[in-house]
Amino acid sequence: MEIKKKIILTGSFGVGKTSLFSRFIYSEFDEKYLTTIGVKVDKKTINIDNDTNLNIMLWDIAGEVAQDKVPLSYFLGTSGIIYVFDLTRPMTYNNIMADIEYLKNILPEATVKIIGNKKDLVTTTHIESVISGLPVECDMTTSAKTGENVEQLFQSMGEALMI
Amino acid sequence: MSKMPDTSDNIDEKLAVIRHILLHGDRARIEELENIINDANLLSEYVNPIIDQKIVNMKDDFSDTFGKEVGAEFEKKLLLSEDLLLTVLSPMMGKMIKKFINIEIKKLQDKIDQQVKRSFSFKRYYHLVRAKVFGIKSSALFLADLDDFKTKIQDTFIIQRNSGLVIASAHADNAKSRDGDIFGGMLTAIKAFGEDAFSKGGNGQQELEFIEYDSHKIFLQSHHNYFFTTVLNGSLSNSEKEKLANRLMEFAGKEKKLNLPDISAEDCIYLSEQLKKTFFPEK
Repeated sequence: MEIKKKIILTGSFGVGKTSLFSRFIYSEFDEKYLTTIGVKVDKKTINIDNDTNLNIMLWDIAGEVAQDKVPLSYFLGTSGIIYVFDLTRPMTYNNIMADIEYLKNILPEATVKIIGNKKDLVTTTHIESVISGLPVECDMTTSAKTGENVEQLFQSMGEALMI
Repeated sequence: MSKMPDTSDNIDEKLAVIRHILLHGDRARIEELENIINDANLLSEYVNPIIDQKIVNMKDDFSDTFGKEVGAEFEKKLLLSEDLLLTVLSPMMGKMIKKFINIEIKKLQDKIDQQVKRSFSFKRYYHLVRAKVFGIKSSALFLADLDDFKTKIQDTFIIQRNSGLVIASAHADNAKSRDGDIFGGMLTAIKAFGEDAFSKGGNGQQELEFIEYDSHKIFLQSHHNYFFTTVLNGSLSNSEKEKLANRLMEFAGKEKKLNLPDISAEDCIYLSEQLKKTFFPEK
């Protein structure tokens, strides 16, 4: 059985959304930082079980300082939201509570995963300190650079969408 | 004014007197020249006419004097800026070529008009009647009869309105293969962007209806939960656009499954088959 779902990658600018996108879709990491213009759409199929394949339509949305700045129409029809913040920059998670509330308000049915990226740049102690200070629960920490937890992130999102 | 030295027996003083007598005129001249040099206005009175004359002479003899060097330098600069020149000139050249093609097509249309006028065939009368009834130029009808100018549907997609997920699709046998899912997603993003940008400021709900890219045309027709996207090749007149819109409306009216809140995978396959039958029937 083939199922299609739209998932969006969102969060502040420079948190590594496009790098996670490239790591997941093309299994590559580009050191260069290029700002996403508007949105980029690509797809990847993940296997959920022996009978089910999930075609993920992944929308990489240009970073904004607050989620209410993103065009509302980009969010519509979304089944899953991956909210990414940068573990090395507090300004990317200082507003996390308001952002998540906003997203849950416009997409009450969608599954939300909160991800701390760039874990390769910080120590375990720093990660623990950042996560414990967040007003929301962080689902996973990833590194688009090393690929750590990237496949697991999308696999877990895919499985959550099938429930 | 210099003072006359007193006469005396002293040789030096006598020499000084002689020096004064002999050099008096020269010293006065040197003083005058120093005054001219130190005063910019005075100096320019003397120098400017000379410079002006030099400039006139240089202008007259420029190509003989510097032509070779300037030519070589210009050639060198042109070679170095080849890429930049191409970048600057290409769009202009493209526009000129486009303009030329338009003129040539217009000439071709005129030729066909003349040909039609000269012809007494049944087709001529048929075209004339159609042109009169539908208010279309007879040349356009004649062109439409030529296979190369016919509008050809390449792909038809039904795309879920907000998510951009492709519900169904059908393609011409010779259509260039494209990933419908990515195409649908990006098209939805473009559509959303356009609608978001243009419906701000009290313009109400507006829809993106047409995209033109080179010889490709993308015709969009929006419905409540989904939108049709038709990719075409060739020219598309207003009457053809209307005809296509009617065919899509007819399809939407006939296929009730499109109005279901959740369209199953089986429904998607069924709708794709119906699209194929409607828009790309087997000959």
